[in-house]
Amino acid sequence: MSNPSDALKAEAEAVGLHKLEGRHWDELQKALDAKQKHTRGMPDDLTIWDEPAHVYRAGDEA
Amino acid sequence: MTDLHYLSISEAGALIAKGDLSPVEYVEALLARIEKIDPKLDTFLVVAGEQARADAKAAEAEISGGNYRGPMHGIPYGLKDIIDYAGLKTTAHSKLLKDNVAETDATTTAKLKAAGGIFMGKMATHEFAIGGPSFDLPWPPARNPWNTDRHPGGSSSGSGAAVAAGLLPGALGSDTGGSVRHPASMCNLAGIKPTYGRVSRAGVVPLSFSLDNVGPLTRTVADNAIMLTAISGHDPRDPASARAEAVDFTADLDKGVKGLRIGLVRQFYTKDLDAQPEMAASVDGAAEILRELGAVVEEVSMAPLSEYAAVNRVILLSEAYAIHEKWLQEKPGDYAHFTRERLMPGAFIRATHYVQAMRHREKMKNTFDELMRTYDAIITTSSMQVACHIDDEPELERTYSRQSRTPFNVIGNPALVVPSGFDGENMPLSVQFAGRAFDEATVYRVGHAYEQATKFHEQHPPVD
Repeated sequence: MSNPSDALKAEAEAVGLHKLEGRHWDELQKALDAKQKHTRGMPDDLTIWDEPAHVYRAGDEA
Repeated sequence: MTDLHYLSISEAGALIAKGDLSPVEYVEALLARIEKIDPKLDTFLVVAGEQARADAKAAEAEISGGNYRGPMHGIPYGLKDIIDYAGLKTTAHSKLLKDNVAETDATTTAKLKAAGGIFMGKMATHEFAIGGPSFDLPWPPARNPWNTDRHPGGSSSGSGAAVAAGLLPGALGSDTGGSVRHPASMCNLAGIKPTYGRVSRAGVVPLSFSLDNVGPLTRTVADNAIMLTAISGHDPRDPASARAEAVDFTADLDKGVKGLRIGLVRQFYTKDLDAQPEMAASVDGAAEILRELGAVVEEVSMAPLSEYAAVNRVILLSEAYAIHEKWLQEKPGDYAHFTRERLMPGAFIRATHYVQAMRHREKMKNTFDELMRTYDAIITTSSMQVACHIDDEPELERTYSRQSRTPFNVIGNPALVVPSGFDGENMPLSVQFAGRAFDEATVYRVGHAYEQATKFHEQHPPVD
């Protein structure tokens, strides 16, 4: 992709990827598609009580 | 003595302990084989020949003086080149770290040294354990000894290919989304992802802090248990290191599977993904063999593979991007094509996605723990198909996610791959056994019973 769309360039600018060139733009488009696939692929069954894994602990005894 | 190169660690260790095999002779045989075979396979980034010869002489002197340290004493090994060896470069197979010299040993390296192992060199990997197989890096990718046109699996590619080809009896790899078990699956090896926290990550180039594991690749399950015994244990240098008791993972190997309850997850390879028929048949066949050996095998279900994969990727890519953001912003051209493409999604994953993934992770872990109140082990697929061609990018992309290894990275539990036969083109098939957290001993016990009943591990690749 030698001429990325303005929208794609804006996506890169927003996250500080200022030095992409040449084939990097194709890779960025694939990365955006992959991100959509992964984030939409997660289940949707959490309640407000579900704690995350690896919570912060103040110390050994906490 | 002939064919030293295909001695298992158990066999070589027994001979060394009795004084019937000289570590110096053993190391020389492997160095000669590396010189002859490795140009076809590109498994080594650095061969530490002089160091290995010196260490072998020292081991021989120590053993002949009556100071035998145990089953790794005098045994050669390799390290995936994301694992530090003091004084040598740790490149992660990347231009970005091509001059990065390790000041200290990784804890796993230190443990193998303390056990008397003989370091043979640094092994090829996918760049930063994620981007490969890549042809646009300073070093070529490792190739599969069963067919050098095929991918050996990754990211612990060099470790797997070298052990399969008889260049080493064992090597360490890392497993964040399946990277020990993938090369094990593609190369006819045993490979374990231990319980998260069982093996120290200190001195290992990180990919994803909460998913990374170090594990051994070997030709037999018993050898795998020997290496894991040597490298596991609590380490204050690793904040995620578990305070689990030291275990001799070889102790229960021969107890058999009679009476064990084993859950067969067919859904992964018949419903969630459609496995190559020979692969599916080999796993069904493995379940049948375990039944014949006296286990109770029942079909069970887990969450869909796509859900585990999504949770794994959101966590992995978020954590990996936090590590690589600055380099990707400042010098994206220094990465391989595959690495950039696989890391960049992390730039766009929001904090809430990451937290949601971690919440799902906890839930998935609890659900699996509940299942394992009834079952001692799980049997399922690892890969859905045999190795594809190493330079077929569309096929590499298509098959990248066609696997059932990530569930066990997400929940943190141990999972072991063992050879399960060959397809019509003589490419290795594999089966995966998983277990309760910190119960690698039972996973090994099941894997060993299956391996000894089938002996697929005794077949070697046509690389000579």
